[in-house]
Amino acid sequence: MKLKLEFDNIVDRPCCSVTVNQQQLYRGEVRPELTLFSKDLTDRVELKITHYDKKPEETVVVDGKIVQDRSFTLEKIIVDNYSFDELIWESKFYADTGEVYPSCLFFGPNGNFVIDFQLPVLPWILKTRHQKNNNDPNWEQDYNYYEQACQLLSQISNK
Amino acid sequence: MGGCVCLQTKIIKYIKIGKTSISIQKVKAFVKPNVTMQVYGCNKDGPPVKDLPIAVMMFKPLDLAQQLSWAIATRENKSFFDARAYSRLILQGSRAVQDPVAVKFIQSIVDDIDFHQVINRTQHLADFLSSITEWLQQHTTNSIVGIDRFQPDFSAGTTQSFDSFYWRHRNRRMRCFVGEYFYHIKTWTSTATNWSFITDQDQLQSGDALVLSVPFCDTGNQPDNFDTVIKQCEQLSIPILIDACYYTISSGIDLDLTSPAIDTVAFSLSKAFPVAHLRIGVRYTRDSVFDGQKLHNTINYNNIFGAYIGKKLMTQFKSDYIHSVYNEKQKQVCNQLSLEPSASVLFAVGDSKWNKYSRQHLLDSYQLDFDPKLFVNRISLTGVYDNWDIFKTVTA
Repeated sequence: MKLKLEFDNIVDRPCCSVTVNQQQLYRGEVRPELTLFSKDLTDRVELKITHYDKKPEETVVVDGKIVQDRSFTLEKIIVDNYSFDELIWESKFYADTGEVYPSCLFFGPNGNFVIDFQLPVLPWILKTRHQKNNNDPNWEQDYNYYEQACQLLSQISNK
Repeated sequence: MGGCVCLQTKIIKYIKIGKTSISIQKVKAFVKPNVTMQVYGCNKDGPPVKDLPIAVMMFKPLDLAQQLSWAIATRENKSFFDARAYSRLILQGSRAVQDPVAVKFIQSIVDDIDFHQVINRTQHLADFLSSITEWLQQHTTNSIVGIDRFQPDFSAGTTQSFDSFYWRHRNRRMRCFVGEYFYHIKTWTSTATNWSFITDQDQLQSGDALVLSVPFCDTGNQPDNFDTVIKQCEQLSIPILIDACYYTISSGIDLDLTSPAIDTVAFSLSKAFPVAHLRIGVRYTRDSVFDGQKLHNTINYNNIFGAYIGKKLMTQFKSDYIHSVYNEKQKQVCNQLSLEPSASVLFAVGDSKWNKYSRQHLLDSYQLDFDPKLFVNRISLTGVYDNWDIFKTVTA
C-alpha cells in the first residue's frame, strides 16, 4: 500500500508518528508531505497518526487568546493514488486527555487521529461514498468493469 | 439468457477464474459476452472445487460495449474516476479515426514544412479550392450531381458555412428535422433566432430556410425523404443548406444538387481525417452570393495552413479512403454488438436497448434541454477503430 499524507498549517515543528495496523511507518517531525509504503496489508486497515511530544508551554495564551500553538492540520489522505477527499472526515481524534473529537483534522493536543478503511481502497471509497450519499448505485458494476479493463490492458501489453 | 449467469449445479456463492475468487454477483463483469466459459465453484479464497463445472455464460452485446468502453477509457485515463467519466463518451460523438496511415502522413507533412513560408503563400488556398470538387466527385460509392452549378469558397470546417447561411437568411424561420446537428439548434436558441423542428403539425412553409445534413446527422444515412423535401422547398422557394460533412466517410449517398432551392452545400475534411482542429472545409454557393465569407475567399484572408494540409491530404488519399479502410471493421463491430451499420462508416445505429448511449451527454454539453429519446441512438465506432487491439482481444 502506498500512503501519501498531506499536512498544512504546521506550527513550531510538531512531531507525529504514522502507523497502519500497528506497524509504524514514520516517526519524526511533521512535513508537508509524507509518502510511505506498507507491505502485506489486506482487507481492513487502521491508520493512526499520533501527535506526540507537545508540552503545555508550547501553547502560548495571552489575555485568554492562544497566540502561539504547536500544531498541524491533516489535509489529505491518498492511498494507492486515490484520495479520500471528503471521506477523510470519517475519522476521530482521541486526545491524550481523554476527549474524543469526531471528524477533527486539527492536531492541537497530543493524541491519535484514527481512520479505518479497507483494501483495495477504491471499492471502499466507492462503497462508503454511496452509503453516505446514496448517489452511485452502479459503483460495484463500474468497479468490476474497471478491474476487468485493467486486466485486459495488462494482458495486451504483455503480448 | 442474455445478461444473466446460468448455474447448472448447486448454489455456489463464489467462483474462481485464474487465481481470483469472485462472488457470483460480480461475475457478470468478468466474463466475455456471448462466450461460453468453463469456471469452477470454490469457497472464498479457497482452491477450486474440482469436477464442478458450474456455468455457461452469455451476455448482452451491451455488456461487450461496456467492456470496450471501459478498456478504451482506462487506456487513456489511468484513474478510475477519469476512466468512468470518459467511458460514457467513448461511443458518442463524431470525431475522425486516428487512422495510423493518415496520422503518419500528416506528421510527415508537418515535419517537412517551412511554416512561415507556407502560411504566407496564398496560392495554397487556390490550389485547395481547385482540387476539392474533383476530389469529392471521385468518391467510388457516392455520387454528386450538379456541383458544377456552384462556386467554392474556403470554409472553417462546415461551421463557417452554417453561420453565413443563418446570417444571409436571418429574416427567415430556420428549420431542420429532429436529429439534425445540435450546433444549429444551439446557435438559433442562443441568438433568439426564429426556428422550429419540422413535424407533421409544423411543416415547411414559405419564408422558411432549411438546414439538412446528407448523410443525415441522426443516423449517418441518406435521408429517406430527400427528394420530396427538395421538391417541397422548390415549390415554397425555401433556400436549403446541405451539410455534407459525413459525405466522404459514407457510401451509397446520392447527392443531387440540381434543384434551384439548394443555396449552400458544405463539406469538411474533419470527419475523414484527424485534422478537425485545422478547420478545413469548403462551401459551395451560387454565383450571385457575395457575403462576408466570399469576401474573405476573394482577398485570400483564410486559413492557408489548413488549405495546404487539405491539399496534401487530397493528393495522398482518395475521398473514400476512410470508408474503404474501415468498412469491413464496421461490419465486424456491428456484428459483435448487434448494431445496424450506418452508411457513414464511423457510426452504427442502436435500438432502444442502447438508450444508455443516447445523446444525453451531448445535449448536456450543448446545454440543450431535449428528451434524448427524440434522437436515434447513434453509436460512434471511432474509439473502437482507434483501439482495434482491445476489440480483438475482448471478442477473441
